[in-house]
Amino acid sequence: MTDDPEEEEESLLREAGQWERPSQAVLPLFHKCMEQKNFISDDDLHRIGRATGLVPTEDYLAISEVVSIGTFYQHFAFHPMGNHVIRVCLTTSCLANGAQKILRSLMDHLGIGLEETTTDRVFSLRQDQCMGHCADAPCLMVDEDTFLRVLPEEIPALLDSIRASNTCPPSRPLGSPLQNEPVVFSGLTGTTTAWMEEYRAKGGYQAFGRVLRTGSPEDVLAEIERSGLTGRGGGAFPVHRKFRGVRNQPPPRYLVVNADEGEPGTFKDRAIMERDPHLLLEGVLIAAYAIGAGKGYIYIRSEYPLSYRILEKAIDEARREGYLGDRIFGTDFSFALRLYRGAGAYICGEETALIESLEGKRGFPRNKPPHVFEKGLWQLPTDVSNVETLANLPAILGKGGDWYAGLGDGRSSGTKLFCLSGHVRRPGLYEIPFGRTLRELVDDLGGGIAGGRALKAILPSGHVSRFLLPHQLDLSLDYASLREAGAMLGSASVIVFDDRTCMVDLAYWVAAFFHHESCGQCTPCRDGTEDVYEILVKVVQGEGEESDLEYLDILGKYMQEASICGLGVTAPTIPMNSIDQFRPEWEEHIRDKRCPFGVCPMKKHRPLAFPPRRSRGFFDDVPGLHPIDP
Amino acid sequence: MAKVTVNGIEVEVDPSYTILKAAEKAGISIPTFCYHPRMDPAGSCRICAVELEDSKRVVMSCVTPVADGMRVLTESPKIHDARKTNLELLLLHHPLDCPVCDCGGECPLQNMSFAYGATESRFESHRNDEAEDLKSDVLVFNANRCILCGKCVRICDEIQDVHAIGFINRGFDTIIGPPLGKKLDCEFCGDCLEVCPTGAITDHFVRYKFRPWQLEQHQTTCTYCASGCQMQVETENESIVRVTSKEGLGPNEGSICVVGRFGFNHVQTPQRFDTPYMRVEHRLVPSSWDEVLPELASRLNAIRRKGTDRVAGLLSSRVSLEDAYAFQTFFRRVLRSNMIDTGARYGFMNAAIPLVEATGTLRPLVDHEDLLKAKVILLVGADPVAESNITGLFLKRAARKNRAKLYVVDSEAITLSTRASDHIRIHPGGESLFVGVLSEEISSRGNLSAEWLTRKEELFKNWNVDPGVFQRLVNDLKSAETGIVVTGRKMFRNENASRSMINMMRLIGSLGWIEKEGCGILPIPETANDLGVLMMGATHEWLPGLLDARNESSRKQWENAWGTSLSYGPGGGLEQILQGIEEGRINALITIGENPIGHFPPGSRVREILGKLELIVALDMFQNELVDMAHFVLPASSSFERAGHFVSIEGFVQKSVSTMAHWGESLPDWEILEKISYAMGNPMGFDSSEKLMAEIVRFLPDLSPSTRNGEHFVGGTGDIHLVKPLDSCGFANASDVKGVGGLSLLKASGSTPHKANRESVSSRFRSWTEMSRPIMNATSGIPGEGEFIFSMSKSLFHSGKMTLQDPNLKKIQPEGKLRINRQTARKRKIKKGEKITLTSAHGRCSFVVEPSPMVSEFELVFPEHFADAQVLALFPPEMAFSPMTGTPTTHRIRVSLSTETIS
Repeated sequence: MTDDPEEEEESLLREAGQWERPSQAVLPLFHKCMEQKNFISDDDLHRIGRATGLVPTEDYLAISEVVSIGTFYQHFAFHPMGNHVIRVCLTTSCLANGAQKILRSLMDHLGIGLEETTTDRVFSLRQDQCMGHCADAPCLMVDEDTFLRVLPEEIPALLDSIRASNTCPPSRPLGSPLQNEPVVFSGLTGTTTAWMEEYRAKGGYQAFGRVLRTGSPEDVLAEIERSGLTGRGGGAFPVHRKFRGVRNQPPPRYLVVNADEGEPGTFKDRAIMERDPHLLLEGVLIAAYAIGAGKGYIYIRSEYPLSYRILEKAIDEARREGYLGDRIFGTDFSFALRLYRGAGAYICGEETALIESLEGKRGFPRNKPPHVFEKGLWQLPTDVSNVETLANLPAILGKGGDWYAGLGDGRSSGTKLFCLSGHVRRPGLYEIPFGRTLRELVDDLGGGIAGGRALKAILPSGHVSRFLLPHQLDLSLDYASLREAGAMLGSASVIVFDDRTCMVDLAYWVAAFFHHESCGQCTPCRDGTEDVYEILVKVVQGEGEESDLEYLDILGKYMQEASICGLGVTAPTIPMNSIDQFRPEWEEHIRDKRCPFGVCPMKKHRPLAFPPRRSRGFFDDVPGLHPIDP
Repeated sequence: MAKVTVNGIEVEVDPSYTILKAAEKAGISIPTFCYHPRMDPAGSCRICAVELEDSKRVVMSCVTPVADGMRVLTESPKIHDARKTNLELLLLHHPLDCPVCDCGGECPLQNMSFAYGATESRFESHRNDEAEDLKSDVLVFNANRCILCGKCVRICDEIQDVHAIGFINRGFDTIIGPPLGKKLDCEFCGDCLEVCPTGAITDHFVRYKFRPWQLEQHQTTCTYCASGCQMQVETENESIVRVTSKEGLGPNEGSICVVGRFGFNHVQTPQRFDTPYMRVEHRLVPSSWDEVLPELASRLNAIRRKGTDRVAGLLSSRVSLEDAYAFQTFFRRVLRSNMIDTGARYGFMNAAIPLVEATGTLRPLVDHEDLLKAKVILLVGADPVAESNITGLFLKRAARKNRAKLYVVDSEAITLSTRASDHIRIHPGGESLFVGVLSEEISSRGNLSAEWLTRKEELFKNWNVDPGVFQRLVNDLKSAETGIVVTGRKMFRNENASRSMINMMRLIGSLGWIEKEGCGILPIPETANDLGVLMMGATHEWLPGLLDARNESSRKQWENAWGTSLSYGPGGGLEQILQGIEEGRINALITIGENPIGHFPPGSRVREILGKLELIVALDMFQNELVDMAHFVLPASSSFERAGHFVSIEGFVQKSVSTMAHWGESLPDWEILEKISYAMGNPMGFDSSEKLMAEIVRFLPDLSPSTRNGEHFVGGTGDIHLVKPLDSCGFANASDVKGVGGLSLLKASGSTPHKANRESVSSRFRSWTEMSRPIMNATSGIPGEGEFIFSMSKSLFHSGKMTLQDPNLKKIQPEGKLRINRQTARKRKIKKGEKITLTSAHGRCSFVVEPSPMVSEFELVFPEHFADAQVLALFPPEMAFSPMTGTPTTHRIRVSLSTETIS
């Protein structure tokens, strides 16, 4: 920020004016503050309130709405932070690989807890919900630098080197490369990002060029229909039907790319965006052409700063080369594309919450109907599609829908990027056609369980699905088969757990995750995630009772029945299924007050390395968030 | 239409209906927490769940649209369980401090828990235990009891457009309150308090002072501003505990402003007169009615015998129709005087006289619903949010939800200017030039005469009007199908007010904005009954029904009606009254809630002039400068103690009822006058306010009571039916009663009886428009280097000077601060709370400063309520009155500013 308040105000106003509506600029302006000084001051709140016009002129009123938006997102801080913010991933794949020890080590060496700042104001410690490096767990981020496969004993050296030089050793690893022979995603094997030149050299943008020259939108839709492509974000809804739904609405229409890949254990979209960004952009163009969208956004999560930088550059390249803009290559097709950054809210992966957030508001999911294809962004027809879905389009339009359909097993078309993480020997990103077995993925590609341990359970889709057990290894990996087995393929983030995993501990962390990520709009989810979490706290502290499990079941069913969106439906799934599938373990925790794996504290006074709660209080009253000595 | 079956009852509803509304139509209530009939459904509390009989699915009735053939169960076992679990969740962390919670007893959460038997918890956990936010004097925020339904946040946003409170944090840790833990600082409308379904937001003024079930509720009309809000005055042992509203009830639809909700305590403070006083040897001594009345009567009779127009009367325009009618009857019939005037003379008269001339009526052309139909709204010289709060709410809705183009012409930024498509920040004093040029531009179709072109140039050059914006406004006015001009206090108190009013009326006439719905002009009355007291003929110009008081035939009409001869003199208003007193032609003055001394600068000799009177009788509630001079001080009842009718800005005639016992010996104004007339041996014969109103309606049938939304919504407790209040506002239809001949001027149209009849008004208006000539105004110059214009505004938190006595409102705004442009303050290094001195050509005065971004750099603004003699000393001592309307004309004065204070 500049020193001159008036100039500063002018620049904010200018920035706000660059968005479709000034109120949309709230999140970008918050990010600007965060980039400049790691926190958002009261003055910033006032200035942003005025610049975005959320507010009547009197100052005080200005900030209420802005504060309300800001405090929704975990990424933003409203108290001074240290020069360097360390974010440690506390989600499933990292936890399975010892993230707790990393956190403990950080806390010990820094002498602070989560959301606190060292007295010398060099470091602040925060948590993150999945950084998309699940195959290289555990990981942590210092500002925008990411460190993979961190060992607790490496922490002191890292901290010392930062302290000594006041900079962080640069470490910006691209998302996981593809580990096996690619079919569709040949661009994910390289060692560097494929920029425009490289992408075009291997035939990039040809499919889009052909579509633009010869194909009508209907031709494109027909080709997509032939391919049998379904949404890869988890919903698996036929893409052509979704596109047609939007196309049949009157313009203006929007295309929004859901790059808020928040499901723990998922890192496929990150790989695409960081290794082959133009593949996504070409897919976006094809989709926009098919549905007749004039404007589009890529909503990208703040945990992926590198993806953001790469896409920023790629979009610049595409704009320079004439792929984006007005009347592209002299045709009637115009398309403008912008990046929009989320700010640490898992809920914003839900499409209506994403749209609310994209409008610059709190990420509250909307009640449906109306669906986004009728009333999405600014209440206009909108398609929200996943990165991987769109990245399939160039190949489908290039090689034909029939070719793509032929890749699958007949039940599900094409190939799928599988994110394999947890206790396997070779975790990573694999592209396999539908219809291979789980065993092929885990044992043949993944090399089986690491360290010679035995397989205990598999989560085939982050936090969304029921556990798969060793006897189910021969299940075919396609949407239908998994559904028949009572599980879900979802976004295909396969997390593998070996026989040393405590299922109660796992459920505890999952409950903590959802408790932290519930948006708080509807009662079942807001209070439900709190109570599920509290029950789990009781159990891991050795205070659980049989009746708690019954209550959890009642509660879970109510959450699934009455929540506004999928988060409330998903939140109790893992604890409920875990009780169902691993009952003896739970009984041991409750009846014998013993954790068979020695993981759970089982004592009330033993501190949990649990994610901190925000206080229900006003945040300036809370000592935990007032870490700096005056 | 869609056929829907709810619990076996079939109803046909519009397909756009939600299940909740369809159920309501079927007479079935579905419990709700977050649903609010005036706002978009949020669908977040999930208590309104219903089961679809066919699919067994559970859906939320407030957000789910109906489908043809849909079969809904609202109380199936599944739904019962769902609601019970929901309540169990809400109660698990709730503090359950109902015994000490002010909401206990009227708490929807409590009622619902009772209804669904959510008596036991299957899980135990900590109770929320955050400290209460007691920083605000007005509202207490208790996050522990909050169920996060969000209604308070939404009403502050969607209805009030104030955004004072918001959600903070997310998930279970969300709380609601002012940002950054600061003290609440808002318009204090209390709508959030009203909609809160638990004790999360409670009233700080009456914290721990009542139990809701012990309160007696009285539905009444608020008598502060002209919005005509319907509200509930809640009393215990005949004293007022609090004021609440009922969702959907009245023209205000359940919203009331800060003054209406919290400004009731002055009527029960010990400073109030509780007995008559009589001056004995230079001292006012407490007395009794029995003692006072004969003495007063004989002195009045003695003066009356001297001739006509010997006694003058000044009436507050806050009194009821009954009081005003009795007032003019008393003067014209009993005292044979037409030397009468009302408080409307200080401002609203400037609009009323041209309006009556042009349209023959004071029935408004437009009501609040018209505002929602207008495509363009031009707001000149008014701050509706402060002057008539509900008008302000409707304007907010028009601009925000209906996307009407709102043009604000004001030197100050007002609340509404943030919603304006353009805010023309004209320099103070330029409004009249602006409307003059604009009106001429439109009516001449852009062919301005050379003289007007010079004026237009002047407007652009000197008065901070951007030619581009002006042209945009002209284009919008010309192309809009519907449009409304709204004006108010600031315009009325402009030296060229009545001329500007005429220009604005010419403007709407030339645009053809008379005949159509959603078109017209809306002058905002300054008090609750400006319209009513004028309709009752409480000024020298008009007899009841706005008949010309000096016209022989109108006088005859009323002589016939009353069966008596009227022999009052030519009479006069405020100006003539003061003149007459000075010249000894007037010997006595009776004031009802009026104090002319408080309106004029100390140098103006008003006090000296009034000193010449033989007899001063003051009917009032509190001590003031005039009371100090009076020979008789008679204790008047407040509007909370007596019944009466008031005409709202929209033309509704609504009843205000007696809600508490008369304070001491106080009596309603009409009754005091009746008692005096009786003692004088010439009784008017009014023996109850009901009979008085009956007489008014008999002569003026279209003043029969009327209101909008006579039904209210019972939300929260789970019952969502519209309920007709027991004490209906409406009288029996009085249209078959024959009125006094010729009173059709007041006549309203059939379907909207409160408004003027567009057809009858428009022909008259058209000929008026044709006859009216453009009026060029003289304008005061803009301030020179280092000079400012000092002006006075109405505060949102006070109404007149009466509320300065109110303990609640005094807490909200304890003192008047001089608002100064923030940049100017910064440049001159003046800080908030510091004292500065203003010097005019006539006097000097010190003020405490409050820098504000809303005030223009040329202006210094002070709330009129706090303008005492010291402040008024800045104004010229000569009393100047408008030759057209008799209104005092000095309202702004040039001043210079210094940081030294007067010792």
